[in-house]
This record gives sequence, C-alpha cells and structure tokens, in this order.
Amino acid sequence: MAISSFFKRILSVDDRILDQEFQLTPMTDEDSSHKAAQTKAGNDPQRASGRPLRLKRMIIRFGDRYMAGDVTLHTVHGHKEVIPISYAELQQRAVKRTSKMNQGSSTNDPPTFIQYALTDNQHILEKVFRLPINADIVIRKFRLGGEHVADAMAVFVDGIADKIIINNHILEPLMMLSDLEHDIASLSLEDRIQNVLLPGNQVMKFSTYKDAIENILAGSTVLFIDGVNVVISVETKGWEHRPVGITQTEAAVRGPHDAFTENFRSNTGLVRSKLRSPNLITEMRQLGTLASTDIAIMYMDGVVNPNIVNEVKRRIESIKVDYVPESGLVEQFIEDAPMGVIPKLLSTERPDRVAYGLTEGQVAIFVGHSPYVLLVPVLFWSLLQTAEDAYLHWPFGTFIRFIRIIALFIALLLPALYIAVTNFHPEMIPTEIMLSIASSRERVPFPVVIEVLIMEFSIELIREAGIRIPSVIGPTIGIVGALILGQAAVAAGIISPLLIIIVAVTALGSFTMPNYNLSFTVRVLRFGFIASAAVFGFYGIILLFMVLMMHAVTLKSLGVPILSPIAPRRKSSSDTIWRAPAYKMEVRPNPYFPLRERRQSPMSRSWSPLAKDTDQMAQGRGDDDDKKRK
Amino acid sequence: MTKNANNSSSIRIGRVGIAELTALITIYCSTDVFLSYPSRVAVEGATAAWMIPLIAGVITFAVFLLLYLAMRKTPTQNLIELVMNSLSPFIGIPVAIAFSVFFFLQTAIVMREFTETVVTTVLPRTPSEIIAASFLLVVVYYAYKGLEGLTRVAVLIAYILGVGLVILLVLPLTWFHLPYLMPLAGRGWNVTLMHSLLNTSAFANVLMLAILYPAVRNQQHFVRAGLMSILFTALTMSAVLFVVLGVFTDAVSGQVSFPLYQLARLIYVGRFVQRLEAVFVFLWTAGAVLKMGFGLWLSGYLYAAAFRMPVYRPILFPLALLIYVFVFLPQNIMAVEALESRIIEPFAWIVELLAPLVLVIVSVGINHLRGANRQAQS
Repeated sequence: MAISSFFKRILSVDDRILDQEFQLTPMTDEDSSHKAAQTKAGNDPQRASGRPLRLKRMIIRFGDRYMAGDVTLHTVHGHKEVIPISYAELQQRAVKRTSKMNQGSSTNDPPTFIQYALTDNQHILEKVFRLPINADIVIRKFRLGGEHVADAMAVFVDGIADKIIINNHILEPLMMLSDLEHDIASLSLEDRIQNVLLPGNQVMKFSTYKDAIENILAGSTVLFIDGVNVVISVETKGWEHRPVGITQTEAAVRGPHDAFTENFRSNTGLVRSKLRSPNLITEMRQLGTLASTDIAIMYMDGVVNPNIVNEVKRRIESIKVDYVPESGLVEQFIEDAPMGVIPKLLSTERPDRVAYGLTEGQVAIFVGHSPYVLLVPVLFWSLLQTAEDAYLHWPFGTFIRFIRIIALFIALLLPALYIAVTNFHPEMIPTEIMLSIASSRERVPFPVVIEVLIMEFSIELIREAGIRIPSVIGPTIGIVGALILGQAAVAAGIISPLLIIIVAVTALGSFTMPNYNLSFTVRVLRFGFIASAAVFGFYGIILLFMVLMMHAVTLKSLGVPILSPIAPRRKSSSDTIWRAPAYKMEVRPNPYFPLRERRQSPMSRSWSPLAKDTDQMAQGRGDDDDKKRK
Repeated sequence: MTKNANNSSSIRIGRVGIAELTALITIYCSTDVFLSYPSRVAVEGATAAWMIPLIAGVITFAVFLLLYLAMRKTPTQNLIELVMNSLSPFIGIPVAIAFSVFFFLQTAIVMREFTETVVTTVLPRTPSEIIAASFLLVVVYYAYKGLEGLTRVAVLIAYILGVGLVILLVLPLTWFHLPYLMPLAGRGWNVTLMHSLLNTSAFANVLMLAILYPAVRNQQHFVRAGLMSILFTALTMSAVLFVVLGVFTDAVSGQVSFPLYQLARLIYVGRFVQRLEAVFVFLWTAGAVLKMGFGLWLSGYLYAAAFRMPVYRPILFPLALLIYVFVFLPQNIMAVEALESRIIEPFAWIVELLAPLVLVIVSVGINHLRGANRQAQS
C-alpha cells in the first residue's frame, strides 16, 4: 500500500507542493511589520478572530469580602467570571465535548478550574491520581493558624519533591508561624500566604487544574486552601539526578569538559552561565498528551532570524504525540525529509557548542531531561567539526578537519574501492602489490565481496557488543575482537591479511566521525557502496556517489540547504573545511540569514601594526590616525 | 492569454546563483571532450584544431551579446514565454517542442556514447542495455530534483572535474612535442575559420541561457554567467585539443575514438602512478550524469512549457523510457559518431545560436511595434 502510494506520488507530484516547503530567507522590513501586526492581533483574541462585536465581560463577584458602608454584610469565598458567548460558540463547544467523549476520553479528567471546597478538590485529586492505589502522590492535610483558621492541604509527589523544603519552608511557616502579627489587613488569604508566609523562591498562583497537576508532577508542592479557588505552587523540585559530568561522545582535549545531564533546568543553566546576555531567550513549551515533557526553545534575540524561531515553534507545536522521552524522538518529528540517512539536526551534549551555535544564529531545543540538546538549522560541515577545531590555533584546526574529511571518504569508500580494484580494475595496482594481494588471497575460498562483508559484519558486531556489554568486561572485547578473531580468521584461511588492514582502517575512519548520527550514516552507506562496487566496480561507486551528492545538495535543515555555503555558494567566513584564524571570522554564517551579520570589528587585532584584515580595517585605521593627528 | 496569466501558470524553476549556473552550463557543453569531440575536431582543423573552440567561443559570445541586448527589456520572460506572448502560441508551441526534441535527441545520443565508453573502457563484459539502464535511473533522479539540485551538484563537481582535468592534461606532458602543433594555421586560416563557425554547435550556452533567463537574479549576472560559461567551455576544449595534438599528432588523434581516454592510459609517473584511466572514469561518469540529467530536465521542462503545464516531473518518466528506446536505435557506435559528425555538428548551431537569436529579435521587434502602435492610438 505504502509502495503504491509512493509511486503514485512520484507520478502525480505537483511542483506547487515544493513551493510550500519552508525555505529560509533573509528578513525584510515587510516581514517584520507583518509579524508585528500579527502579534498585535494575536494578543487580542477578538481582533484576531475578526469578530466585530466586542462582548462585554460581566463579572459576578461572590466570595470576596465586600463592604456596604461600615457593615460587613456577609463573607463568601472567591469570585467567578462569567463570559457571555454566542450561540455558535456554545454549539461548537458541545460538538467538541461530544467528539471528545466519542474518542474515549478518560472519565478521570478533572474540571477546568479549582473548586472552592477543599473536600471537593481532594476528591478530584484522588480521582485524577488514582489514590490510594497510587502510592507516589502525597496529600498532607493541615490547618492554617492565625486570625483566619482554614483547612488546607499540600500535594506533592514523593521522590521528586524536596522534603526538607516542604517541612521547613512550607509546613512550618503555615502551621506554626501563621499566628505572628503582620500588617496585612488589606491582603486576601491567598495573597497573605504567598507574600508573607511562604519563603520559597518561586511561589505562583494558578486557578486551573491543568496547571496545578503539571506543577505537582514537575516536583512542586501545590497548596489547596478551603474556600479559595486558586492554588499556590511552591517550587520544591529535588529529585536525584546525575551531577554535571564529563562529555561521553564529544570529548575534546582543549576546551571545557562539562556535558549536559539528565536535568532540564541544569542544562538550560549550563548554557546561560556561558552566555550571559539579556538577549538570550528561553521559551517553554509542553509536549505530550499522556505525560507532558518540557521543551525549551533557546535563541539569541536580535541575532537569530525570527523565521527560524517561528518555524521551530510551529513544528514543535504541531507534534501530536502522547509522550516524548528524548530529544532523539523530537528530532525525528521536526526534521525535513525524514526518510533520508543524513542528519539534518545537530544533537550535542556540549554546552559550549550550544552557546556558540546560539551566537551564530542557531536555535537550541532542550527536551525534558535529555542530555542531548538539538541545534537547528545545521550545515553538513558542522557535523564534521568539533568544538576543539575553533579553540585550537587555526592551522591545527584546519589540519584535523582535513584529516576528518579524508577519514569520511575512507570510512565510506575504502572497502568498496578494494572490491572494485581487485575485481574490476587490477591493472591500476603496480604488479608487485597485485601479486602480493593475489598470493595473500590464494588460500581464501570466498570471493572478495563475501570476504569484505564477513569482516564488515564482524566489525559491526564488535562495535555493537562493545556498547552493550557490561563496562567491567568492556575493554576485553576489543582484544577478543581485534586479535583473536582477526588472527584466527587469517590463520584459518578465511580472510586475507590485507583485508584486515582495509577493514581496520575503515573502522578507524568511521570512529573519527565527531557526530554519532553521522557515524551511523557512514556505516549504513558503506554497505551500499560495497554492493554497488560488487556489481559495477568503479562505475557503480561513482553512480551511487552522484546519487548521494544530489540527495545531499537538495536536503534542507529547517529551510537551509545543508551543503551551503559551498552548494549553493553563499558568502561566509571560512568555516567549512578550512578553518580561518579567529580574527578573520568576521561574519556569522550567511546561510542562517542572521539579523546581525557581523560578529566582530574589522579591527579585531587593532593593536597590531601589521594587521591588515580587510580593506575596511585599513580604512578604519586610517580614520583613527587622522583623528589622532587632529 | 495575458502575460500575467501566462506567468502564473508557468513552472517555477527557482533562482540559481551565477557560479552554479556557470558550472552547470560549462559542464554540459565541455563534457564532449571526454567523447569523440577531440577526434572529430582534429580531423577538421588538423594542427590548428586547438584554435577552433576558441574562435567558436568568440563567435558564440558575440551571438550571446546580441541576444542579451534584445532580451534585456523583458527580464521576467524566457525565450519560450517571449515567443508565446509576442508571436502567438501557434509559433511558440512548435518552437518549444522543437527545442525539447533537440535536447531529447542530444541526451539520447550522449547516453549511447557514454554507454559505449563505459563498456569499452571499464566494463567490457557488461551488456550495454544494463549500463544504459543504470545511467538512466540516475539521470531521471537528477532531472526529477530540478534545476536547483543540478546547479548545486555542478558547482561541487566542477572543483573535482577541474582538478582532475588539469592532472589528466599535465601528467602525460612527458610525451608532448610542440612541433606536432606545426604548421600553426593547420589546413589554412579559411578552413579553420569555416570549421570554427560550424563548431559553434558544441556551444549550447546561448540557447540554455535564453531558456533560463528568469532563473538568474539580475541582468549583470546573466551576462557574467554567459561570458564565464562560454570562456570556460572554450578554454577546456582548447586545452584538451592542445595536449592531445601535441601528444598524438593530428593524424593519430583523428583515428582514436576517445582521445582523452588514450591520454589517461599514457600516464606513467614512476612505478606507482600509472594506468590511472580507471580513476578518470569518475570524471566522465560525473560529467555525463550531469549533462544527461540537465538534458532530460530541459527536454521535460520545454515540453511542459509548450503546453503550459504547471508541472514537468511526471513527463520525465515517459521521456526517459523514450530515451532508452532511442539510445539503441543506431546500430553501433560508428553510426552514432556518423550522426554526430554529419548531422549534429554541421546543423546544431542553427538550433543553438541562430534560432534563439532570430526568435528573440523578431519577438522583441513585434513587441516594440505593438507598443508604438498603442502609444499612437492613445
């Protein structure tokens, strides 16, 4: 079915579909004025929906203590807002409610708003959290002291909330210190608790069950008070997690060694501590209908192209899924051309890399407690780079980049080239080496292709086993794999010694890939090249290579062609294969169309009399000299 | 149909950069050097054969400048749209179909030539049908991805082709003898000039640029793309002929089917750098895939433009099947080469240079007259 629809699409594709694809373009004045108009309309729902009638909001107050002259008439609690709606909207709501029921929505769904009566709220919470079966949720009931005695309850999740904070900074002030005199006659009960009694650093009020439940599940302690239809949430997150450790997959000799960990706020904090700017914005979203996961979208306002931020938000908000445990899944939901094998997003565990990416005009996506942060958009060349390239002196940075590019081609093509040369083009090799290969293959009963496949498969086995095996016996697997298996295979006459060298060099090449996803790309594509070489020799390798090139040049990462600035050519500082000196990296990567193009002054080494970075700089120095003379 | 309506229904081909377009057109036109082109020109021009592409390049550039001067007042319309709007679809449709058929046939001929090259040089025991089918699959994929993809691959491949070609021309220089290029005038200046005129058939630059006019960002880019692509094409062809003639002499070059391949076979620099012809398979396969992909794309695009279809991609599959049929119509490679030397080379310049120039000048002239009439009426 899927195959037939695929062919149907090939034969009936409409070019206009391609025009709808998101393509990153530079911001123009028209864009920004249009966006401003949209934002303005967005803030005003009536204007946004274009409703001509402004429905007046009628508020019926009941529950606030109100006075008629000097006499207190009666005391009721809370207030309720009644918003008149049109009949069409009412009908729409009814349809929505019915369809929700038809979809089998849970009967445990709480009402929208917090109730006034504490017992009602308790019943609702018991129903929502399936108490008392569910042992994780703790409801601690107590009585508030002071002038107005009221029943209250603190709700939190055992294991993810900090008990010391709850005992010392919530229950103790509310139960024991609430008798103290304060000059707070004008404050309502909930404001008094929030402003005077709770010393927590983050105390917020919420009026809906959705917010209350999300806060409870996120580790906060939520206070329900009898007769008050708002809850007070105190930040008490305190679950056990791994402290900030060293990088596991992106190790660098020069540069910081800290890595993201399994704590959302620590991760965002790690970046913010490195990038101390008021322009650094973190927007929060929740994803998941069954269990929500926090998503943070971080960007540098004034640098990043707003089209990228809007597109990231649009893609994340359009994800309809019940649970997202890891950034790897979000990556699959938001990437362009998801059927391809080339990564279109950069997942990194290095805070310094994220910080630098943000200053270049990229957007970072933090997903829940995932220790890998996504950077978008990304260029293919970034996948071949490490943070270290930039920290090292530029000739060394460039040198290791060249090594990596060569390693990429070795990892991708070496076994295929070996097959092509030995099977189809033996005349290429000098006679002595040809004879040596022939003599080493004399005892081997298999064709070269089978021989290569056996060895490649063995290497993949060793690699997989090396990851899955318990770390205590992990190092031995290398010895077992490399020595015993290789030696034994040669001794048994199954494999030629030359092939051991070929496969080992190939494996080393693929290990140099700095990006974990890219190393998978190389591993998978290598088998494709082996097959094409086995069938057509060099000709087959070239055909597949050309297909791969076409695939790569038309790939986009959030609207940015991933092979830019080389194909298509765009003006940019030299940071693809060649790493220019830091003082010459004057502009941000042009493919991201950042709002601020220049990142350093043309006179970045103005102290040096020999510095001749650019014409502008020479001009700048001339100006300075003129000023001094004056 | 009004101009606006026509534009709204036309196919969007996107915008391409000057370097990308130059690379694609240069590769399309100069890939012939891997095939029998040097052999043919060596026969025509004898020792002066290396001058023929240069003189042909100058003539082509002159035609291109005339075309540009005529077209610059209608920057949003390409050749086909201009003819459709000015000379009515009754002329526009047959013109577009004729150009489509031209590129179609050229792609089919080139595919046959490259198939035979691959069979002769690297895969002697593989049937031509399988080689052609494998080429065709990749070529359809290339055409399917459109102009943007083609130009981007071209700019990447251009570096590799450039370096490869320089190595290919420099390493056999140990066999190079300057006296082989004497007498300088070959068979005489008149003959050289006459063959240069006919040799403009190798330069499809003008026709392609006239078709891709709206894809270029501005008119300055258009002129630069034209100049650079013609210059690079002429230089590449001339350099290859220069080395081939200096190494093999004109008489031998005329007898060899693929002179550049023979040149690659000659390479012997020490014990380890020898017999590198298989490596150069990369060069001509890469060039061939781009040339045929672009040819098929142009054919499909022109066919769709002729009938004002909003899409061209579905046309590529039947066209590819037809190409596969046409590839095997000539009995053998000699028949293909005869076709090249007797029909394509003497007459293709009419389609590639004369037709676009005449059509554009007539269309712009009619537009001008209409404008003048309207002004007089108002």
